[in-house]
Amino acid sequence: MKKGSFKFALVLALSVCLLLTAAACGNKNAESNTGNNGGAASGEQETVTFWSWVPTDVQAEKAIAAFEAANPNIKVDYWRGEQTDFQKKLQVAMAANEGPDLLGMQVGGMLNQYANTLEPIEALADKNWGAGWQDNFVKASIDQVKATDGTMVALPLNLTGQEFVLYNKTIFDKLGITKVPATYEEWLSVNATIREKGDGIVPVAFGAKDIWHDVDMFVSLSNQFAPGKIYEAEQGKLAWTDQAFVDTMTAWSKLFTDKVMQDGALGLSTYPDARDQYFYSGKAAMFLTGSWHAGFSLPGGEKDGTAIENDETGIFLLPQIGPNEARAVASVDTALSINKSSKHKEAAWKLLEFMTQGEGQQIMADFIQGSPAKVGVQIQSLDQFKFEAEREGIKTVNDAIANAIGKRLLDYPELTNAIGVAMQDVAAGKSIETALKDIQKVSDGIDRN
Amino acid sequence: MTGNRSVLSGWRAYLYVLPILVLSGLFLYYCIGFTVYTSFHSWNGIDTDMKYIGFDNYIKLFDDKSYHIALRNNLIFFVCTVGVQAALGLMLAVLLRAKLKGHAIFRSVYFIPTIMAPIIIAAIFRIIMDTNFGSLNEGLRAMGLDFLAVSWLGDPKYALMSIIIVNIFEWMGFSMTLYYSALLAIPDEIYESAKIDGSGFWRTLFKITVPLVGGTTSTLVILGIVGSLKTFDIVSLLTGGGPGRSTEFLTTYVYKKAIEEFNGGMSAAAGVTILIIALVLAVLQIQYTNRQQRDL
Repeated sequence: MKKGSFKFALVLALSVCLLLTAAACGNKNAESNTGNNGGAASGEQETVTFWSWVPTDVQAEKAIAAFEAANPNIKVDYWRGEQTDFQKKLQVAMAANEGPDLLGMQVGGMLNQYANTLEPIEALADKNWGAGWQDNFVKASIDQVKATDGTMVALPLNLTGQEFVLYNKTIFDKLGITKVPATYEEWLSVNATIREKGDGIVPVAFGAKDIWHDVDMFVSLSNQFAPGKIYEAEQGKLAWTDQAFVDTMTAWSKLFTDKVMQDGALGLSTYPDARDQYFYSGKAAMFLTGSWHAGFSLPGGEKDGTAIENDETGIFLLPQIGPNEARAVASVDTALSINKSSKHKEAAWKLLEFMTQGEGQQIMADFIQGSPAKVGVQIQSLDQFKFEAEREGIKTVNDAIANAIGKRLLDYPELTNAIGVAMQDVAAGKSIETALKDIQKVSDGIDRN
Repeated sequence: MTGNRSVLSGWRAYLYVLPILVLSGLFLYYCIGFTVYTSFHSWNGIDTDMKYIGFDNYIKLFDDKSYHIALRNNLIFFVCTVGVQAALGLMLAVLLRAKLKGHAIFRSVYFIPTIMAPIIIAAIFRIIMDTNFGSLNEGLRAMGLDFLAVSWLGDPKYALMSIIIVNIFEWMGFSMTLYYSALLAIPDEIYESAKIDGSGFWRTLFKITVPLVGGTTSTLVILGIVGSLKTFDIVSLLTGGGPGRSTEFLTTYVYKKAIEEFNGGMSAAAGVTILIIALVLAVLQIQYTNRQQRDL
């Protein structure tokens, strides 16, 4: 063969290969769209893909092993990512019709955006559980897993609330602080003691770089000034320039000018910065976080191996800053949905049922990742805590969530971002009036239909 | 016969470029086309339904203050990083060419940040630049310069500058390597002649070295334009575009619109403007370089 002909043949072959590869990509999508595999034939093992940010790897290992033992015909292929990574991966996969069979879902904005791609749940639940199954879920949780058109597209796994303060009781004891602060004045006083006697310990670590956390704070705080008004503004029924939000922003701003928040808070993320570099390293006495952190001191939990692993820790509700009592805001932390285009819906349902109403609920409850969404589940791991303050913390958190004043997560992601940006601007010195007008402008542009 | 052969070799020429055409068609031009198409639609990035809305996304985009901030930040970032990176890279390359003791070690040390994962660089700098316990502020306080111990990443006044410094640290070694290669291609005789003629260090640098590495500078500027428009990881990891929108970049804007706000249409519109800016700047730069080369 001549040299030129050989080159020609090589190029031709390579081109054909590439075209075939391209065609194969297309076919894969087509198959995934129109696949008619209704599940595994009897006796064959079926694989269910499951993506989420919760359960964590440790939790998933236990829960999935229990599920597979009870369902030997189903294998679970679980992928876990941090929430931001999960969101990125899921969005691309769902748009390409290559999403998992079962997926973690955040209520509010995320659930509304994904609603069209998720299997309506009520018919499945009616068929498998019969009438009245809703009563087996905590009332607040079942209300939050519906899309704006009223279709239920997920089931709740657990609930979490905000805003809580994790504190190092060993440091408190050492500095003679005998009571956790319940009011703003008490909080300022505790902080002053820590600054004075704490030998460089920062009183409070807060990750104000995270918009999600700033907005959690805003929702909590606004409910202390004008209970429920934030939900009216969310739906466009109240202006964001209302006095309720001026007061909320003023209180937020004071947290910085009064040095409750540590210097540089706007440059610090909640995880890992504020948590690891400040609280877990023993350099901060308090750390603002959510109720999901209540179980961090269980053996094998996050606290193990840190500089404070032998310290006694606890958790308390954000002190009262506004005129009304401090109450938590709570939302379903993780809900689970079945992908509408899944080819393994029955198996996915079994896993969903196991996690939300079956043994998986108890396993998750014992890890104290959040409060159980199933009515009547009792945490059986309390005796594993080393210290009394840690056991008390679980009661504090669960009582606060049961007594929550409203939901934690807002329905519109662009509004969440606008509030967070405005809060950071105010903390950096921008006028409250201008910042609230910025929120209003974004709110005006939201299509709420 | 000759005519047939000529036609055949014409077809063969097309076949030779077919593999890259298929690849770029699939992974580049299709994506660009889809992005342009999406930019004229209202789409949440998930559903199969897309609603045609004409230029609405572009109108909203140009009315968005955050987008203006992102444009401004990209421009500041480009001007600062490209200039400083090139200047420092050239200085280091000149010093290394002088074959000072241990130059091979220094060359590697300066180049290491370029090959390090941005996530590692960002994590290190987040710790170094921490307001309360970071080594930068600890050092400043130890020297009695407490007034300089600011919140590097948490204060809108300093956050963009901090990102620029970290980026320069990351990419300075790359500029140095390109300049070093260019310097090795300059014959020693030129420098020896300059020395005999009494040219000092600075005169030699500006009259001989800088003009002779003009091609490399031009390459660095083009790479800088593209690089600054693509900058995402280091910004996202260091500040996330905040505080507020003070360090918003075009790429972080695109990301937030698409992933956080489920606004695929507006995100695509912003992406299209990035593409247009990159093309215009690249064309201007190429024209400028061509003119310079003609003048030489």
